[in-house]
Amino acid sequence: MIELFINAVVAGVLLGGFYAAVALGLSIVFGRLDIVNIAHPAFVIIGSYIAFYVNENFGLDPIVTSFLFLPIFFLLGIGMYRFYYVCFERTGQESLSGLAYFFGIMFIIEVLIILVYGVDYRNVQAPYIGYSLWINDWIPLGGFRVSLPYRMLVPFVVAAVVTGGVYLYLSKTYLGRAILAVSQDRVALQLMGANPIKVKQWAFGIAIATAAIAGALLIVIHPVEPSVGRLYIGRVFAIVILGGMGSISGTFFAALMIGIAETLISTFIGPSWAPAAAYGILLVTLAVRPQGLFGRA
Amino acid sequence: MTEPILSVTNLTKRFGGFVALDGVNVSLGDKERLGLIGPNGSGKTTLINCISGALFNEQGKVNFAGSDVTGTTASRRAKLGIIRTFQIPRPFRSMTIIENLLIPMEYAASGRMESRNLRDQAMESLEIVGLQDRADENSANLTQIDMRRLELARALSAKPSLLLSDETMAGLSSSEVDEVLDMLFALNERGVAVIMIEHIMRAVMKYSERIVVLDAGKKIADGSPDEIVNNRDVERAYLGE
Amino acid sequence: MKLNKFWFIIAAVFLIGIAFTMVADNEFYFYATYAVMQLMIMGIAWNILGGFTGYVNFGSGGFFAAGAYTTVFLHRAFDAPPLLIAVLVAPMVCGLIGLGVGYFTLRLKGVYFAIATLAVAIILETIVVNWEFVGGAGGYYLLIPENVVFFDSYIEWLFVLILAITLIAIIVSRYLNSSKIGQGLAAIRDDELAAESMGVPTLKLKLISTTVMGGLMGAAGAPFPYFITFVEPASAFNLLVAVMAIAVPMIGGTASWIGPVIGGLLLGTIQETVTVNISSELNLLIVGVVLVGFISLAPQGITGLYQDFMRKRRKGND
Repeated sequence: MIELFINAVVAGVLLGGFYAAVALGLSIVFGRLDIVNIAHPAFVIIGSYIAFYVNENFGLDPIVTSFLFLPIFFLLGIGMYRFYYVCFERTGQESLSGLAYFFGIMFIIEVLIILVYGVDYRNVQAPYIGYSLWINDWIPLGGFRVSLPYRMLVPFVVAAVVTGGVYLYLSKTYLGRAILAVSQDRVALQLMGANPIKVKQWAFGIAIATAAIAGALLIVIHPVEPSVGRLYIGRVFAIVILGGMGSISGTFFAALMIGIAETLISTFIGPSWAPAAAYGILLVTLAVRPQGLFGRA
Repeated sequence: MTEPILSVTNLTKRFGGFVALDGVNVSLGDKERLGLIGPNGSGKTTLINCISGALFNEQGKVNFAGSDVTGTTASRRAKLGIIRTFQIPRPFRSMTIIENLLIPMEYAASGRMESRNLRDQAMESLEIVGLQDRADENSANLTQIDMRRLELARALSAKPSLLLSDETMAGLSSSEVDEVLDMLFALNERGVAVIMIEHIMRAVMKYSERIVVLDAGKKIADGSPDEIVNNRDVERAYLGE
Repeated sequence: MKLNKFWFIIAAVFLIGIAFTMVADNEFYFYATYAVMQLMIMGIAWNILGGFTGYVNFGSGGFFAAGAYTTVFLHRAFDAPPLLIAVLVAPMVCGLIGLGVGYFTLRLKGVYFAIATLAVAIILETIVVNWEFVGGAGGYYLLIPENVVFFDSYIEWLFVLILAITLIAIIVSRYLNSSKIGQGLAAIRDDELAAESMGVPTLKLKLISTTVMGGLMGAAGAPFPYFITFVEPASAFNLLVAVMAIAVPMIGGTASWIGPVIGGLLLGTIQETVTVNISSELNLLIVGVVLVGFISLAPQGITGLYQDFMRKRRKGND
């Protein structure tokens, strides 16, 4: 029983790390720019399918593929923001229409993928999938066997690195700090010589680029089909809101918490209840502490 | 003075650890004109919000027209006759100017309306502020001064017994300030008590029968305009030591 | 539209509908128009909370499915009672759910509210998936009764039923739109803070809005199990329902009661034509593209475009 618990927690941590990679883009765009890109998981799924395509036809490792495709996703993000700006932000329509707009985009993406690939599950091949690292081989754990499957460990490490990278970028570089600034005071930003639109555009590009990586991580962890993105909508919003809007470190910790919660519920209550975990946590957070754990109040 | 129409007793409002209002006591007589001044950040708008119900105070009581309205919703208080205008006007943008007035008439003033045609009654309010010729124009693209006029007309239509005017004159030209002052005097003539928050001193001095001064959440002075002008604490609050 | 003319049209449409059942022999028409009317009801329902009140919600699919599963529950628990009973019970159940959900989520604004409604829908779905009595994940089969009073076949009865529900939805929506309540909802949509300070009891009106939306969605979902004979959570709670419910009013126009009717007719007809003649996936794609197109380029919908056109014509005549 205890062994089951420890393994569940460990799996939850690994899963949580991956969730952080998925939520990262939304943390930037929703947490900092107040753009409700509910379609973010759909972009992640695009990343998954691209990784699948390249893996199937060229044998390239999915995660490496995603890094190769970063520039394309970045440009896609810029394009998405531009259109959004022209249609919505400029006219002040963000609230009602902006939301519905991204909802529609998400739907279109899902349908396009179905048209091209159908509804079957797809997965990738990589040398490390299917193997595990047994911690008890390295550290004596008093008889408990705790495994870290590589298909989860590798994404966790990549996710942690990417999250750390984005965090450093936002806090240390000029553009990164401009992104932080534009959410707080765009007029002051303008007075300091930076163009808020270009800054937001850049941020959106980064966010969608992270989706490419997250997509590859996703398909390494488990097989993917077009509607999988919907399961993640609740998760990513729960993570971003729980972590505190705009806090990258908050996002990471919230992701870990949700990963652990889901895995524990899945293990001890039943996997069919797991989807409700993130949504339930989301509702509780909204009711009790809407600014999240690390949020600016 | 007869029974005060409004009495705020020992009102304290906190935002987390920050104390915005600290044990404030204010009372207002029926039909009185009260000026509310103080340096920026002293809590004037917060006080207005607590009186109107946009915010709820943690401690203290708000008494209006004989009943305790502490903790009741803003719409409830509007129905009783407490109406406020906003610093930055908030018109109902999808509606025409005259449609904007229908809302307070049907809701806030629903017990106090005459049985005549609503549109006619709305036109009267528009005449007071000078917007009667534009009644059927959309309210979304008005100039600043016109939006202030609409804001006042809307407040008028709610048939208030207490009007809380939050910096209605901010950013207006000198002649526009005079226009708004005239409207506020006219309103007071009809029996409405008014609390006016303003930074434009000549307007406050001209309009107020009594002035309350706030500084850092506390009331530091309460008296006639002449008394306030000569009050050392007030001078210190605005100019520093 | 003048009141007398309105009631006349409602009555006329209903009578024509009944006449139709006596005359038509190809059942396909009933299936097709059922789907169109179901869309209209969903659009009307969503629009009450989304268009009139300005609270976009993504969870409307949950209420639709709740209506469908109320029928399933009654079918199983009371050994297939007449559908009419379910159609009366489901709106009450779903209206109550709407009230409850509203009470907890309406404190949230904008985005948070929309996501919270999605969360509620998913949680409802998870509950149904784990509830064996109504079939769980595997689904539930329904047998259509052999004989039905007045009509030649069951689908004709379903057609008249959904026609009646649609007309009721239109009546309710029109009433809300033009009444004092409707003006209050519009004020909330335009500026909730200002509305509250002008005496509009915003929480109470918002709750009325969510309750009516829930009830109408439930009414739309109640006959669904009989229409489709097999109900499973995956299709009942499908995101498609939520998307359609949003697409219909956004295309038709959100500001008035007539927008969702137009949108429902238009979208429903496109759907039926494309699904039958081309493919159902392409149909979904078209829906998505049309939705995004209207949202981005014509956010006031068809009625908005019409009003702009009329306004320009009037200006041209001056």
